[in-house]
Amino acid sequence: MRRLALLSVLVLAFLAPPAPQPRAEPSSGRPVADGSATRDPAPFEVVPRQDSLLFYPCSQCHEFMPGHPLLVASTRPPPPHPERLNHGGDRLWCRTCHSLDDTDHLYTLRGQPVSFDEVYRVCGQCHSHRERDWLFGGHGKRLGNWRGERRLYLCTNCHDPHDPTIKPRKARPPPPLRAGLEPIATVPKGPTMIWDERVSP
Amino acid sequence: MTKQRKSPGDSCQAGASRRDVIKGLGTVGAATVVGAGVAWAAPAWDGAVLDDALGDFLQDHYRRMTPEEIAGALARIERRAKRTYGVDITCEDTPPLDGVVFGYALNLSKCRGYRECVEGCIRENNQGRDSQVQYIRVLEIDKGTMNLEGSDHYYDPETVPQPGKVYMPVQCQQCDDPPCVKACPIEATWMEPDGIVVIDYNWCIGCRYCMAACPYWARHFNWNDPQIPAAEVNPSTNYLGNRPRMRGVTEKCHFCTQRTRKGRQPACQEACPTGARIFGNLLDPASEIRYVLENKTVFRLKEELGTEPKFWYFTDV
Repeated sequence: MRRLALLSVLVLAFLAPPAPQPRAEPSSGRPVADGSATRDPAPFEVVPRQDSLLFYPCSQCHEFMPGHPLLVASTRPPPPHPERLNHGGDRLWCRTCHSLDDTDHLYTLRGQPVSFDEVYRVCGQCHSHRERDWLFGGHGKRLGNWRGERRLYLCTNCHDPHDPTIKPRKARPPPPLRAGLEPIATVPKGPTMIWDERVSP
Repeated sequence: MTKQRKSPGDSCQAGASRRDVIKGLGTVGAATVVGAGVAWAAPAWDGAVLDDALGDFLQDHYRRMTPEEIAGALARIERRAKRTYGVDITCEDTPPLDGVVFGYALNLSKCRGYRECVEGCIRENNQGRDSQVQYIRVLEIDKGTMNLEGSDHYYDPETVPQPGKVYMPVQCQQCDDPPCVKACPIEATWMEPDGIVVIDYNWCIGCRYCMAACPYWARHFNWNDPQIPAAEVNPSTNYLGNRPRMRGVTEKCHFCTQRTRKGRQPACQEACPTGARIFGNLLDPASEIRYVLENKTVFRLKEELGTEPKFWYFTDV
């Protein structure tokens, strides 16, 4: 019941425009920048992702393996599906974004099919600020040129939608030192924070 | 600050006469070589033609060179790279674009300290692999402070980002009122019309006044000739940009003039896997950088010094 209420609130909050064409041309109904209310994001192309998905089209398998009618949120789908969903706490589950009736598309909360190459329309339902930044170039990465045609990475080119946090990794090596020299000593770090000074064991 | 380049006709009398005299001496030397049975312009000693031996010595300031003299300088750079690294490079003199002033914005919420920008910059700009000349310095700062003095750029933990740390890449901020330019006693560095502060490496005498003047620690001195494996030399170079430098000159980030003046993104932006770096034309109201500057809470490093950096930092939300 609680989930249903949340869903209906989200649906009302994100009344999305009709499904756009493969070549994204943001209409004037798209979110606009704070500073310039009339501004639309510049047209862009995305780095296609759908064709690079390993098992796409999903319907190749799901034609013969219809979803279990009793599929519920606690069900663990077998491989190659992701083992667990580490996204959104317990608010989301498979069918928040996927549909068993049409496995080749993502679905918005309103039930509109969305291509895997327009995944930002699904992500932007919750992450609307990120989506706006992404459309205007304040989030994500533009490839190749700084002027002319914009070519952008999709959300899912960088984030695993089932585990979107970027994991820590090894950094590139630090700057080399001249032979025989020690690194330049920085100011010694003491208890700089007030809680480090005041709170003693 | 527009580039004033003299035509082949007019000349600065005093400098020209001095050069003419030395050129005359060079001709005498050439005649000697020819007299010794070596054809003119054929490889003489160590594969070098006479122009290579004397050309750099006679070369004028970049902004006073004629197009012909520039072409000669570019050819000398290409031949020297061939001798030094055994690689065929192309060196160009790409002019600044009209109606463009470059700016950079960096999202501190996104930077995770991978140093990929540093690596991309080293490879793009033909920096010595074992030298300390790295245009970008990624500072590791304790969370809750903005204490650059207490920051560490030699950090090397197993994984980054470390808990309790933030990472702040610092490079040349391309100041609009650059103190390094004021400090240079011979005008070997100046600001181009597209806002990039560049250096004529041939004109630089290596006094390092500019390094002392820069509040961002952005200028670096070449103590050695850059050591670059032949396979890793970037053959696409620019006179004011990433051409192989010589020992004893100062250098710094030049917003990848060899790329950005042709519409490409700078190498650090291309290398950054997090999308923290946003580059563009400050004069274009539809550009991404203008969106960031108008819609995000941005700040500039050491803005109170009044150097008017064209490099902004911001955080998400």
